[in-house]
Amino acid sequence: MANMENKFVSPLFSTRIESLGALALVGALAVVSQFLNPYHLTLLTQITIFSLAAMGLNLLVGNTGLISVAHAAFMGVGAFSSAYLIQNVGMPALPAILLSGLITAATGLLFGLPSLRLKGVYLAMASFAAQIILYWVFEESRWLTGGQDGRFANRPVILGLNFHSSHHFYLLVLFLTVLGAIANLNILRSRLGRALAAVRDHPVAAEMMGINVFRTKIAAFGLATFYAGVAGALFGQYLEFVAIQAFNLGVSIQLLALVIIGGLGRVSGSILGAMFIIIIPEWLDTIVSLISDSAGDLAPTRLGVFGLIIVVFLIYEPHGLARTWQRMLGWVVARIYRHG
Amino acid sequence: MEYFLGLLINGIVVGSIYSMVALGFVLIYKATEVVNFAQGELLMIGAYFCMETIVRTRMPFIPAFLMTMIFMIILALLIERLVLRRMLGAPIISIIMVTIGIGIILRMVVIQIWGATSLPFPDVFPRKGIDFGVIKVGQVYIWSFLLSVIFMALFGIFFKFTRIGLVMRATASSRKAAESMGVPLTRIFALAWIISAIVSGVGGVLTGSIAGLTPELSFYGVKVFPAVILGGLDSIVGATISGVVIGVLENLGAGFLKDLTGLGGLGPVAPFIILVAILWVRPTGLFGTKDIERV
Repeated sequence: MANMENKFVSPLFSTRIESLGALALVGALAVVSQFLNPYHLTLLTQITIFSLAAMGLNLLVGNTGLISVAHAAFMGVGAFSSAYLIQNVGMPALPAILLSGLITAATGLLFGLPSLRLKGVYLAMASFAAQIILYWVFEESRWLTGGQDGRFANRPVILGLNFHSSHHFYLLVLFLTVLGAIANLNILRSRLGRALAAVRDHPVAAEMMGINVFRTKIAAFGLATFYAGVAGALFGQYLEFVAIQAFNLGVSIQLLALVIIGGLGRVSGSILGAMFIIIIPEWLDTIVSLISDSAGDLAPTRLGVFGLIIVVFLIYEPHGLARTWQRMLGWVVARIYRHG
Repeated sequence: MEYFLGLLINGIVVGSIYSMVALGFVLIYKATEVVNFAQGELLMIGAYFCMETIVRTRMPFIPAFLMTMIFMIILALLIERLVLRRMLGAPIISIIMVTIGIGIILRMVVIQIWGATSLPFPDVFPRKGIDFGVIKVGQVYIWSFLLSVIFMALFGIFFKFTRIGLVMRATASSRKAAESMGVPLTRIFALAWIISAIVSGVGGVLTGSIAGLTPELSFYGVKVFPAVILGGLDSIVGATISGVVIGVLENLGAGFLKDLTGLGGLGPVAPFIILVAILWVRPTGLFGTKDIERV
């Protein structure tokens, strides 16, 4: 890296191996997704979409130290507005997806703006209110959401490319998620990223250093909700049907659990957390079906395990799976060096 | 007129329960800076436990009620000792999230044991209503109101006139100063959780006997958020008054706005619309301290 004269600009990845690894991972995903059976492709698509949503939430929770328990509701805003823009207004898909991200951010600010002036706990409560109010709006606005019946959302055609098949749609999701990840990494190493960390770690000191705390928090919340909106739009199009139940308080809490379990403040955490939150329930389902004949009996326990996992992670591994992963990698590397 | 009075009375009664639970919430927040998102689930589990004790052991209400209080104290101690104590000094968002996790666990325990369908609460208060001339009021409402007022008064006395109450207030006003004066912080924290669990338990038994038992009962617990925002996050007086205000507004909202706007189910949402409105207009609430909440 000869052009790295400016020491203060850290590279996107800290080692060349890491950057090659990331490139290889994306390439592998794009190729392998072709050969997956529909069930595994479904899981992979869900993981990718949830990673994108989680990146937004992680910017807010992990990097800025603010809590939102309305992330699913914001995904809902994105899903419904993009479906409405494409089907009822007749907008082309790509601008509609981006615009629904902006609409979501605007909706988020409606709830977040006053509480962002205040201590962090206020946003937690305001977002709780946002979750409840937005869900109620979804229920009541039949023209937009179809109410309890839900509404259809078509898979998009972008620049003449047709994304109707599950595999092609996955490639679109992967592309947008990679864009989201690169943007996220870039934000973190920019002035804004440092400002976010400063606001999280010591708001008063940040203010004294000349950071506008209020504006920084608005940026974080706006970004978080924008990510949620785009991810929600993709989620709706992927399912081809948007049901309001997909955006209730429980899902918001799952998303929050996701970033805690994955690793607060790290892009890798958002991805690992999404894998965890999508795959573990599938495993639990299998285990439950082995133990009891009627899977319904233990359904609440299955959800309760999530609560337990949140608590256990916060106590024993507050830096999440990203840290566990790093430690494992370090252990392996140390072994290799010792023996080689 | 009768309709209006009915809504008003219902609002005041439910509101007084909110006030009591909000009091617990503000207390924990002031003493320990923990924002307890498991408040609703604590309330719900208290209600179910009391019902189970009455139905299973055929105990009269008062011993069953005392049993519930003991259960709530043990639960609070467990939560404090097993989880919150280990989180001492962790950033506030981790603590909020840990209470969310505790809430999920409690909710799922309740659903696993008692199911998600609604159950009747045994008739612990006489069914016969008392006639006030204009309107007849069920005894469960009167008792609920009286009990919540009594509990709030008890807490008032506890904080004003006992030594432990004084220590708790000292901890609330400055944790560092209190600690350097030799206040055993962990014990104060445990006590704050006990008090919060007790008020939630009482609130649960009362709301349960008014509304019946469903897991949705936990929703009553989170109504304390609007109440404490309206009152000012750190104001005990504010929490007490605004609990009633929220209860009344919610009931009037449910009763009248439905006819006016044609929007169903506005009642449960109304307090949260108020919450957002308050944050826009007067973020420190009616009684909150002005300067400390800004960053």
